[in-house]
Amino acid sequence: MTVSGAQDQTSVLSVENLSIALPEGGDRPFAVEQVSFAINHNEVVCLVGESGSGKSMIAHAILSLLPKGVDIVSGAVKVAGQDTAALDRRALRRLRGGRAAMIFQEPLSSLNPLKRVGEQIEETILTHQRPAPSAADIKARVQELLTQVGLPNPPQLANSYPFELSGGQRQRVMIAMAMSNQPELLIADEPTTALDVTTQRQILRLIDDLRRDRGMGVLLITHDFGVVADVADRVVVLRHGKVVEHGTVEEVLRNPREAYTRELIDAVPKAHVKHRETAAQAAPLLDVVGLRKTFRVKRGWFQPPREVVAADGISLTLHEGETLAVVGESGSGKSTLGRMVMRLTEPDSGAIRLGGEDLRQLHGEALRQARRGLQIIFQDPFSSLDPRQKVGDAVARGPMAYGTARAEAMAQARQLLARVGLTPSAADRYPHEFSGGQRQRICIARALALRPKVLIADEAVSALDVSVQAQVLALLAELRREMRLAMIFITHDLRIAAEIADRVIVLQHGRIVEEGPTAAVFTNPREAYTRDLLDAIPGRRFFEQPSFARQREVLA
Amino acid sequence: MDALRAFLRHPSGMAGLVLLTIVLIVAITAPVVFPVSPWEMNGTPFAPPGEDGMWLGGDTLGRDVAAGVAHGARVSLLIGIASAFAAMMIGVVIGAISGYFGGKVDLVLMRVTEMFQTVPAFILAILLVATFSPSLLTIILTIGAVSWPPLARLTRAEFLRLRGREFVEAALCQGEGTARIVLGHILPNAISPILVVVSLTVATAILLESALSFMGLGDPNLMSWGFMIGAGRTVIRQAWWMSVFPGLAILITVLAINLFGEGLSDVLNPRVSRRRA
Amino acid sequence: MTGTRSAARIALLIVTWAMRLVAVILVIATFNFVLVRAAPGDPAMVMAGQSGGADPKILDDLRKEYGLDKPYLVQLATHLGRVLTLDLGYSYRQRRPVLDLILERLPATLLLTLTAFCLALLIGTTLGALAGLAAGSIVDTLFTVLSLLLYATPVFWLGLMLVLVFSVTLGWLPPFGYETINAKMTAIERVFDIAKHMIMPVMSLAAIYLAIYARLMRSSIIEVSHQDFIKTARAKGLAPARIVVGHMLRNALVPVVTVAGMQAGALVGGAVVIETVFAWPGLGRLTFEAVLQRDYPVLLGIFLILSIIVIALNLVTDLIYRLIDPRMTTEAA
Repeated sequence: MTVSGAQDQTSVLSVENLSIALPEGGDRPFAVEQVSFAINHNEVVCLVGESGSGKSMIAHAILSLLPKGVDIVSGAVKVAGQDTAALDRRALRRLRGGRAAMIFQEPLSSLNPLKRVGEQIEETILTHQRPAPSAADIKARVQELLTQVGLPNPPQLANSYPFELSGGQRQRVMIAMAMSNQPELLIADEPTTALDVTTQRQILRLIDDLRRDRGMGVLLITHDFGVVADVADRVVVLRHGKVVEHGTVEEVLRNPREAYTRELIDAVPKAHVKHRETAAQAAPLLDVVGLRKTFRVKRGWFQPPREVVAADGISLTLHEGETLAVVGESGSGKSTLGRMVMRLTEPDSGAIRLGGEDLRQLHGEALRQARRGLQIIFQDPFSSLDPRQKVGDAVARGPMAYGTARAEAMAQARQLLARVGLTPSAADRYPHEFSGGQRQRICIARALALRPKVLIADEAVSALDVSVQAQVLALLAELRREMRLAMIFITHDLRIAAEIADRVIVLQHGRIVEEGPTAAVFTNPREAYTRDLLDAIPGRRFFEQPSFARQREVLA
Repeated sequence: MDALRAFLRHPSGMAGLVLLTIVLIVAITAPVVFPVSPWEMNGTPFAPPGEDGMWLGGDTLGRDVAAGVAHGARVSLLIGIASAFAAMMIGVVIGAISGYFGGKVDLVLMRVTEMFQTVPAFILAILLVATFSPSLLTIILTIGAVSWPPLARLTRAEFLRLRGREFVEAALCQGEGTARIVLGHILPNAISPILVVVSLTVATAILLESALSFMGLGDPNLMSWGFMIGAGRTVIRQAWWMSVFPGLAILITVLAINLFGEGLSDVLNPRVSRRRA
Repeated sequence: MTGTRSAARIALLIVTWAMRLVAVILVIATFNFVLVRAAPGDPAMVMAGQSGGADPKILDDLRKEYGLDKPYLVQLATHLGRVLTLDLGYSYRQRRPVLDLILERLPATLLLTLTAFCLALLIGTTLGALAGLAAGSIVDTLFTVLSLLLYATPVFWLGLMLVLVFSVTLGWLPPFGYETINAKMTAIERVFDIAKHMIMPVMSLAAIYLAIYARLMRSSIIEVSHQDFIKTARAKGLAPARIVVGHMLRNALVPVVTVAGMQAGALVGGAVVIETVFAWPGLGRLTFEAVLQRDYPVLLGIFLILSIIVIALNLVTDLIYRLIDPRMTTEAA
């Protein structure tokens, strides 16, 4: 099998010199330029790239689902030998959901919220099977599909609406829909990005199993090299719409030829645990004891309110200069924990002692003063900054609120902006002029302006591209050392936790499941849940294979 | 500003602005172009348009319809803007308090707003004006009192949305006080949609006022468009011009305001605006 | 969701609605009470019809009947009690109980309002959907222009213009009234006769709201067409017609139904003006007469009854909403 993918009769998908043009005014003329690759039966090919690389466009082009104004200008996409752009409407509809099926990133918005899930699958079958099967046959087939994708209690599930299911269940339904007409090609556009890490693993495994059972060709779009390492047979690396590198997974990941590929692979947090010297145990800087919080959602007069336990007696300590990672999946309460420490959300009970003082007992001015010591960086760089406020003002506001003169505060702000890697002149610009990574840097500058002792990062890098992520994490590490900051890093990504944290706390449903020094937790997890989380880390096995590590050391 | 430039390029918004300017000019120049009070019965009764120097005809008592339309513009615009302002004062304050503080305060205020939205606004307006005798002040206050709920709802929604936004929480963490946060962060970001709805409220206020005058509940001293249409109702066979022209004036004015408001909305909230496919 | 669960939800909806109805009635009754006493002048005079013309004996009787010399709370309690037993007072101008007057005129108003509501909703959503699907085309532009014009038109003026065109100029339709008086007609003929008289009033009332619903439906359809699940539907190979009917319509209707509910109050208010224009013998006309005569008890009674009609319309739209969108239940609270 040649590296470029044999463009022969057996190819399920063949992309030949494909170029897709963007409408005028875009940041470049072509979304995709001269891309070629092929997929055969029974193999998984990953299209990998950062945001804006054009990978999603290619996936949409296959079934002619490109948005208005975006068109194929040259080259071809062939499914089982047929050029999809040349098909008439009828033939195209027969292809979609028939021989080639597609699943998308957000299962909640990809399913019709007002229709039962079973009906939506039935629709796919009815559209393609000729002669139309009887109602009973269709129902049986739907149940069969639901079972194949691992969903329990198919009859009840088929009757459910999408909002009644979890994210993982919805994605399984999408997969069931895609499988209903025995496709030869499955196109999966970031199918697991929106899911929890343990669910991600299950879904990827499901896709792989189905691939093997049916001999399908699978095109998997992703930005995560860990996913590539786990499931792909071959990989195509894209950047700004062009193919940078391609080959088998072993080749590309072990011996990347291009600098960009190497950069991307390096940027993936490796879950390499560094052994840290345990510092002398002075008194803890932050001492949280027994935090409890239950959210009550009213459901109308005659139904009991729904209770969600976000925190069930959480205690933790943090010392100066230490980084503590709080890891958990969605619904674990990790974000709520961060917010409670900042008193942005009020805990039901418990104490938060910063330098001896219990923050929960403070109010008004005293609280405001104590707040200086704690600062937070949020996840979404786009809503963390007031769009109508200049960046310099945003950073200077904090010190000004505590009495610093404006001129001095602005001067400090410029210095900080320079320190975080932007130019001092950034102070006069507005947030929308900066990229996501740059905005996070601004938020860091803003948080540091008040010289806090404790910095809380609430999924601060989760919304960033992987290379930018690495840069921001590096910045945080530097600043931490320089300013002797104590940090609480909240994340769902264990790899990041392994890289930067001294100690780790694992949360599940508001409870601490396990805690300890990072090395200990990662190499010798005590709890089953922790083990599950560790196993689910994408690409862990690959990146930790001794051969790989050795290889890298030789190169370094 | 970008917004201004964007608006200048918006076809329907600009059309609205142009129309509105024309109406304003008519209103402002009315005393000059029609120095004689529209109540003066100088012309021939039932004069068709063009006769006796009256371009739009004369009414049953010989009053100049054109003068009435021109002077009526002053009345309508005055009442429209003043009522919308009153509605804004009530609605924005209620909505802001509701949205910012939440909890029980929000619950109570929302029930009140709901109540006001349930009762037919026009009937309530009739009731209030009839009770307190029709006059310019009562009309303005009444229209304000029935038009505030949509503004309250919108303000509340905006405040709720912005309050949960991270940059507001960041400001809290930075030590900024409530007043600072509301005035400095929330209000500037909420003001655009609020302004749009306020401008659309001017339109509904004008429609409401004309309906009240039509029913005989307008200020008896003011020659308003609604009153003129009402006066022409029973003689529509003989003097169609009495009903047609004032109505057209209302149509043009309200249309202008709507176009302007929607143009404003498209420009200020590009994400939220109605897409042109 | 099983049958019993959704039946329970509907029952819950109706119960909550009934409670809301009672609450609104009480609030309005209290408001009426306060208004009469806040009005300039003697409450008794106000109740009798402000412009005097009531002799002292009647005023005295009034005072005793309404207990105007008793403490406010007692008065309020009596008043509320009366309202809940549907005793809406007595019109001294027309010398009849208010409730009788209202019940007499109610059917005509209901006929007008409900027909206009249904037409506006049905035709408006259909036209809006078509415009949204043909977005950007000439048809769509025409549609937008027309709906903008209608939206800016005063309801009563539209009515008058229709009279001008169809009655005065063309002579096709009768300009006012409910039916031709003194004509001997069979039942069927009578129905057609009323229908003929109904055309213009219903059209004028419906036209404005039709424009509102149509524009909303149009933008809703466009919004929905950009959503992810439509992309999924296309990726499944569904035919365009199937996508529109099976997936887009229902989802697009959701905001329209909500707004229709909120607009019910305005619609009823519009009916009042239309009835005045067309001398339609309904509550609106009664309102007009009562305003001229400053007949308070009637005005207050009408206010109450019309509010009840609005709430009833709200219930209808709520039910339709629940039928379309099963999500409302747990999340919205």
